[in-house]
Amino acid sequence: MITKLDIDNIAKAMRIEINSTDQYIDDIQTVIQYFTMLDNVDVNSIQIELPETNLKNLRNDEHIEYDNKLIYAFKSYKNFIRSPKLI
Amino acid sequence: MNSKITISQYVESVKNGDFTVEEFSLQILENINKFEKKLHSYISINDDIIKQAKMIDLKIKSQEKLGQCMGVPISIKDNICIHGIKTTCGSKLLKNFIAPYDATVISKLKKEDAIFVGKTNMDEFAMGSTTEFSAYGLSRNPWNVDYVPGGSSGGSAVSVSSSESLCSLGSDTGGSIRNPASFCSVVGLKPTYGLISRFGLISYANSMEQIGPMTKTVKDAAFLLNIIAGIDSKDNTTVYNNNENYLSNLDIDLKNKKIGIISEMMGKDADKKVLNATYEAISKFEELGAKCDFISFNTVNYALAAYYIITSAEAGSNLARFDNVIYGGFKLDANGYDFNTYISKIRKNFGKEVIRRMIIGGFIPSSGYVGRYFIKALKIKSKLIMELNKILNNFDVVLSPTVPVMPFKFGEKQDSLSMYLIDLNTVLSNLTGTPAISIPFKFDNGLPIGMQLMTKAMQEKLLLQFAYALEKITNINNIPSIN
Repeated sequence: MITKLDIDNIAKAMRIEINSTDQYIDDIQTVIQYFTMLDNVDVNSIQIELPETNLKNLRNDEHIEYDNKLIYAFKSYKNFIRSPKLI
Repeated sequence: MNSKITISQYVESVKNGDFTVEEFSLQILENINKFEKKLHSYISINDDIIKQAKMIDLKIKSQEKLGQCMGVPISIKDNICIHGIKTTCGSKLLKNFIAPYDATVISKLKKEDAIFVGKTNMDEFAMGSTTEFSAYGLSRNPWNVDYVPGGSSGGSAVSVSSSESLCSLGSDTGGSIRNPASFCSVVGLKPTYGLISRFGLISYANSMEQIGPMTKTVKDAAFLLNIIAGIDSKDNTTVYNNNENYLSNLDIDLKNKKIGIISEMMGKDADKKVLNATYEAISKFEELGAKCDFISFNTVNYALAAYYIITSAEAGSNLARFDNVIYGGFKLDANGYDFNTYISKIRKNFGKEVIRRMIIGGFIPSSGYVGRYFIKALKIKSKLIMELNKILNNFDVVLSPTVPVMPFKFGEKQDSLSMYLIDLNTVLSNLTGTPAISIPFKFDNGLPIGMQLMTKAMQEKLLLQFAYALEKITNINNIPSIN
């Protein structure tokens, strides 16, 4: 079962500041509890089917010049995207 | 002039010169002025509607080649990008985001001379079933403004129902087109996964979601599908549809056609009024000569859990991009912040439901739980695909109520789980990638009940034919009198 501490840690890992874990705990616990119904289903023999894309259908791996205007449309700083410092 | 007409009637009238595109657009704007305060279908309205309508009128006058929409006023869910237009996704986080390009569906509609009325209200990042989770206020059901319009494409359904637009595009991840279509008594189609390009649709759970039409009639849904369907080099998941004409040959004989009814989708928790309506729909199909049989499909009982596990995990990943560095509209200088603090501070502005799903989405694939929840959910998805295909080898379509409950009042469903349970019948087609449509069927105490039909992937034509047959035999009044 998910605990208050789990929620705090996940929020931190997902980079979301939350004011109070209390407002989420009951709801999230109920939902996770609902998911435990999957414990009763036997799917051991089932293979996970993932969609396949033929390599032919992928676009060529080539450099495409970006549109300067596109960058400008986003948050720009002297034609660069400005990010907070990483380290 | 009657603004409560269908697309086909509109196109015919413009062709005949019964009214100009400008006159009709003015009528739509008048409806918006009249109803918008009460219903709140839109997050933003296009200021250039009349200018664009005049341009199309000019084209008609000078007998220039015109696209098949002929100025149809269409509303667009606010998670689909239109170049140069604000696209908020119902979130505070994108309150100033101007889309830098057109979604493929938008390019296709522009080519056919459609006019975009505005961007419709939605649950934040399409997470919700009532439109109550929009950061821009809730939308109201035109049949009774005390009731929810459904969601997440609630604004789209309301705009069509109240004739604040002629038709709309929504998106459907677990029922977000069909649920509000059912609650507002309009037609809503969730196409086969890959039939319509998702390029320019802001992702929530990319393995499930599809853009689809929301219209007054089945014919109108086919009309829009003809325009927006087809392969797109910008979306590798799109599939070739043989240039199918969905509008032709809609009227077929249902004699000896087979309809399956999955007992698990008519369960004991469903509202009696909804169940009775479904039995009526079965009788209607039988009157048309179709053979209806109940079948058991036990794995359906696990579909909702599998759906919420997979979509939450995908949401956790897809929403990682909203960090205000590229996507995000907050004026918060990056200077002086370290990366994590900056992003956490910005993401505090997500609504409660989005945060809830992101936390679930972070928990599900975490060490120790990935096998118990996520892998198992993927296996259930595969099992559902296999078993549904077997069922659809024996039946042409599967019928169920779109939503197992009646439209309800605002705030009535307080906890997440009871809200999620509304999606019980709609998630199956998203998990299996198959098409499904909601058709207005009847009213109980003035509130709409919709029926859902599902069929095999890429069989939209068949689905529309069955929907058309039901629509013809029910013939209900779809125009609300909004007080």
